[in-house]
Amino acid sequence: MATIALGALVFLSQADGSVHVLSRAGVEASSFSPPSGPAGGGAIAQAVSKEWAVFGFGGSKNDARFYDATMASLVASVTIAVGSGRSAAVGVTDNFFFNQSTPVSKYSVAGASVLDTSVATHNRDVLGVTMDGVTSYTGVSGDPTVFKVVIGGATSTFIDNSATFDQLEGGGSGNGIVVLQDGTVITAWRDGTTNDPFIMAHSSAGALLWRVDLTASTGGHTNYVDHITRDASATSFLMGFYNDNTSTVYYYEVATSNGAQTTLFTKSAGFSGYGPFVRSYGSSTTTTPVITPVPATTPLGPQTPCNPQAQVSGGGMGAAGCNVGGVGKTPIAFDDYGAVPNHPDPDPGETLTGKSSVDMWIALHHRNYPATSPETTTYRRALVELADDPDYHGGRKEAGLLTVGDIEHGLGNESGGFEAADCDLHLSDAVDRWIRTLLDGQEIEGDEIEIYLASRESRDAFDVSPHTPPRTLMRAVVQGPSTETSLQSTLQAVDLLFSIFGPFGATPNWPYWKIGDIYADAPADVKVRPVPELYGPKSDAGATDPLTGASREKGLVPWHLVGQTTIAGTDSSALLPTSEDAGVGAFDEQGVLGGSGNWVSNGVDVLADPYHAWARVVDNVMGPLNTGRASTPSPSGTVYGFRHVGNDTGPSDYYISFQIPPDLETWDPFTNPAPGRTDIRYQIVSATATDPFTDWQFIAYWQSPTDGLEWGGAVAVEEWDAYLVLLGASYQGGGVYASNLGGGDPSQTHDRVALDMASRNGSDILWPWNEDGSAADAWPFADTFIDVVGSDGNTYRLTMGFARGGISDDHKNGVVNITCNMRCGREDVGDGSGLPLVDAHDCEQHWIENELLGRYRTGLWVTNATAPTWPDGTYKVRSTRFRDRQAFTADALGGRGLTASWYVGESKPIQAHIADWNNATETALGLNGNGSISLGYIDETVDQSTWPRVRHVTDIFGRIQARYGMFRENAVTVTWDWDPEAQKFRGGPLPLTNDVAIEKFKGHQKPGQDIASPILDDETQVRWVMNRRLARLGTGLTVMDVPGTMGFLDVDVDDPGIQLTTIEGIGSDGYVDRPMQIRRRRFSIASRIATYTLWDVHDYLLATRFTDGLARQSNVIDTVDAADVVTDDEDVAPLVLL
Amino acid sequence: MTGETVYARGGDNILEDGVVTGTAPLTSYSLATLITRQPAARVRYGATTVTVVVTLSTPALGDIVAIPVSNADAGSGVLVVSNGSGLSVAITIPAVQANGIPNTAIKDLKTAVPNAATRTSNVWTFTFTGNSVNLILGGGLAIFGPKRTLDPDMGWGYEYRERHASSNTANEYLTRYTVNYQTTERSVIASIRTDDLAGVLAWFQANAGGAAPGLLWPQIAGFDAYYGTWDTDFAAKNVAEGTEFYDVALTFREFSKGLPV
Repeated sequence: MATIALGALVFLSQADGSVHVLSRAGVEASSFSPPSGPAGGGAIAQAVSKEWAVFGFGGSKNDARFYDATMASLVASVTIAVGSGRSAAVGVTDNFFFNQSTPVSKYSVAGASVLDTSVATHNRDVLGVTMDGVTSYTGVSGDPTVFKVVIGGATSTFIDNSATFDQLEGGGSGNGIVVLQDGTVITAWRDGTTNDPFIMAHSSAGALLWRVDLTASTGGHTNYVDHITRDASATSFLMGFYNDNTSTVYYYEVATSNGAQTTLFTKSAGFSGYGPFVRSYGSSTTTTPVITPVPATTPLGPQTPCNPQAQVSGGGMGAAGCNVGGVGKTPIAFDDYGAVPNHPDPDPGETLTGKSSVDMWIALHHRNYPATSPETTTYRRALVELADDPDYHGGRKEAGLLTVGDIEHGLGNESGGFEAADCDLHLSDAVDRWIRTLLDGQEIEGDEIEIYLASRESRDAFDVSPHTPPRTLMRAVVQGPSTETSLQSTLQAVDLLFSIFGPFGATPNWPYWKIGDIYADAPADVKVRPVPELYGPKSDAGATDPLTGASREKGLVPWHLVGQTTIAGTDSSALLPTSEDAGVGAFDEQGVLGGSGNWVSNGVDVLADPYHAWARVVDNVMGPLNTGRASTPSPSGTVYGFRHVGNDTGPSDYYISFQIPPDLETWDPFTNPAPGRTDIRYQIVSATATDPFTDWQFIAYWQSPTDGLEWGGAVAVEEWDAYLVLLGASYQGGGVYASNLGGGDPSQTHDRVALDMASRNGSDILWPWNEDGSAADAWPFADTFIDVVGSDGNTYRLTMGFARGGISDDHKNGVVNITCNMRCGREDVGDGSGLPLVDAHDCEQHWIENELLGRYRTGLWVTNATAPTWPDGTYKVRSTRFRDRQAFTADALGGRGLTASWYVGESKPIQAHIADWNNATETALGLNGNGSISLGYIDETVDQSTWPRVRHVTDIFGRIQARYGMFRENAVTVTWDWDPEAQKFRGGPLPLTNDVAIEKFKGHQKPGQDIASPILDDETQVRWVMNRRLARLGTGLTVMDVPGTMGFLDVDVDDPGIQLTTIEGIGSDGYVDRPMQIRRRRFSIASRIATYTLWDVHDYLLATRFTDGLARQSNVIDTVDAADVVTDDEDVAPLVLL
Repeated sequence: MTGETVYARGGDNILEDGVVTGTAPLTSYSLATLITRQPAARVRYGATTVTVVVTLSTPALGDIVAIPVSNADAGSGVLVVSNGSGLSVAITIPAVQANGIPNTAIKDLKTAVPNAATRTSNVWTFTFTGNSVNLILGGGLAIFGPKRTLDPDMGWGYEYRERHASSNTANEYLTRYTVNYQTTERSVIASIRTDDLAGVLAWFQANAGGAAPGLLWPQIAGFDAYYGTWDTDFAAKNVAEGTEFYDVALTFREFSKGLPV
């Protein structure tokens, strides 16, 4: 959902309830369907506080929906008791009003009814409300009368056109009455004689101000007027007119003073389906700098070897002069740490051990297109009709499923790579042509699907409490639907992650977004880069020269030049206002002398002339503009020229009179600047009233468009080079590093040095933080992040910095690029206000839920309420496994356990990222039977004797196959602590070996691939992880395929493990209660046989349980009395006693 | 007891194109399911007294009522079939099989109500009253007409077969892993020795190979009425060289009724 920009035109589709955001020129910037919106749009309104309300149309006309500022989140859903809300208006009191065949009703932005409707008695379908929310004007489309109704109070006739048979317009979708902020009532009509459209303006007292015909054409009669722009002194409003003779929609800007119309744009060819529209207040409270393309850089002086650059570039990375960086760093610690949401595990479902009869069905949740409410339709099919009670998981499951292929999933393959889970479903279309009907105009690919098993007894006991849910075999995503002869069809269900990066997925690589998506005009070498992301710290603060011990920091996080911008209020010494605050108050009253002599426009010509605005300034803070249009300046022969005059009683240090070009209708020096314009002029006017003319205290003389001073040249608005640092809000930044400009001698080599942020921040650098991570006073924005509407129309939340002058020129010229340190990237809220996320598995879960599944661009991080779930509410990530593993590492390593320092600046396959996480944490990421992303790992401290037992005699049915020494790796070399700016690892290479395994392998050293971890940055942690890796792989994996009964489904792949007893195991007695971890589980629907792929973890448990475990491993043989594992530790007793 | 063998062709079911109304079933179930060709399909009600009304576009003669699946109580006190011409006949619900799968409830209306005009109507009503549990009906609800019988002169012989859906796997220890799918398929092999090969073949061509299920009701003790289809292959074996006698065996296969009700 894109941010809706201030001033954008927001249309609600009458046809399907979708929302379309257009510019004033009619260019559609984005469109979307608000969640759970009504099927057709009847009315749309936005409160001053920026929340939105949408009212239904047609069959859903009783539906009212209330949304947040972006319409991304549904705040409340209300069913209007009687009648409907097809017309709506909004007042400044942040309430929504509507009216159809009910009394005027009033709802809060939270969806609560706040008006006793029993006292408002008018039943109308056209409605306008004053900005204070006190008075409404209502009528019935087609009637000649408009009533004035005090909300909840008295009613009187306001307009009576019955003598001319004129008919009020704007019922249904659209609105024919609007109340301007000064109380003027605009109404849309159809002439009772000619049938031509016209509009009228009446004062609040009912006096006719003007009546004008619509200039577009005659014969049409569907008019609607939008809500007026709510600028402080609006001189125009917008309206739409639909000519149903020509099927053309005209959008006008209409002068408030006389009804003169300017066509903004026209639409046809189906656009008539769009309903009412409003002009947005915007959906962000944050000021967003406007970034413009970078001009050619200023050539450098005589410095060598750099040459002036004629071509704009982003400056690259890794240019640090003679500063190649030091070694080591100061660990960063915080008082408190953030956390990610911990979701409850789902009910495991019915226990299948011992069951001889179970039935299977699928539930396919199809997302309807176009969007409907509810969004999805669920289809359930079974191999045989299952006549379940409606209260049992959707009730009836029709026959129609012909065959189901094997269902297999696992936590990675034996080599640690990701292993996709999938299942083929073969269906009959013979009875109802289900799949073929859906494929005709719908998209099945991407729909979510579940596969369940349950016994008859469990299904019949649907009303027994507690209810036993069915056993979930798989939750997946549909891909590759196909049809075949005999009216059959096939669907492939694939796991959640593979559905993203697989051949049918949205994208194979992550990060998903490129800088060019946001800044299309950024330098070419920058545009192609992915938007970087950071979990944990990325800092070399404290790094020293290994020889001299001198400080040798250089910054690890590169800045990427994206353009230029002007930022107000970045010069504290400026005489002009440095910021704008409504609390200062607006200039009371303004007028004009010397033109026509009146503060009125002269008609059409006024739009071609500059207009003027007063502003009050106190302590360098400007109040809101008081803006108005006036007549042509300086009529010939007038002694005083054009005189902009006004009255004001408020406290003020001084006043500013602005002269603004006519095309900048919504200009504001701070919230809506126009960088680069040289025709915005201003004059300073003393706060001492001059009282030169009767009724006017203050005056500014304007005689031409070039009078006064150029506002764009004023020092209050500063020009900066804009640098993108990271996607998302960050917890804390650190120091910034940039060119020393040769120490003042341009001929010297320019080195990258740490900037003294106390003196530089606000001078030639803008950065939200000081070196110690505290908030910097110089940062001119309300938040440490900036929400930017990208070139692709989406909003991105960014961590940014700004620079100018020599250091930025050096960056752009590729001499010394700017970098920074980050004390911590991600925090746990999403707006910079949270606590830092550093725990490795917290970061891993956060990445999966927000980035991979959530495709994060902006907003807050997911919570338990918003985390991705399957349609039945099961979380898509089994967070408890991540929490437990983190706690395990904390016990093993001390402190917080494994921590992450993960900067991703290069886009690469998602499987590669998963492999990085698996390697960095010695875990296996995969999918369990519930369809949840989970972690596989071995915790040697738990009592394996509690693991479920599998006995060959009673449980195993089929051929057992074992493989030994797989993926043997008794030596490894590892590097860590990635420096993304220099594109190298700061730690390692560190060779490690499993000497016992080497000796056992006849002295052969068999190294695996070198491990380069972009996630870990601490050598102690690296050693711990790699020692566990060598323990696991030193002698290779023993892997065994074991087929058995349906009872195998009671243990999932991310459960701790099982104990296996089989004569087929190694040793003189085979396996007896041998601890095994389930790496993979496959279930054949046809044979009802489940097959485990088991990893024999006996040796691994020993090796990791003891500090000298590697040495013990080779000597521990089940039946050898001389085994040197002698312990009275009950935790490991099961191992020793084997 | 033996009697005439009643059979029906797929096209004989007068309810196939009817419109079903009556007591509303539970959510997610549809009345239209009752006249689909699938006895395994189900319609569940939240009541013990249920009325099912099938309205035809034109009046039609109904001679044989067949209800392949229901959980109605055994006996004649629960179900009455009536029509718009004054017919009202109690239907005896047979006891369920030992495995819980219901036998077919069937009634020869032609015998019970000889007047053909009374058996001709465009409105047919099934009234279940006071069942001991909430009613469940299967699909394949049928009224066949006109009544057809196999020619007894041809000396039909019947062989009963029944197959249960289950799988058995034994491991090295001969321990068995059995999965019971709780469904069965019943079939009857009807065999004759005939010297009228052309006539038998013509009968087969008229009755077999259709997609719509018909009926075979041998009315022999131990044999149920079967709602299903004849197998599609025809084979006639000459008994001995030089004779005109042929052995013909035709298989009628009942549709699976699904899980036991």
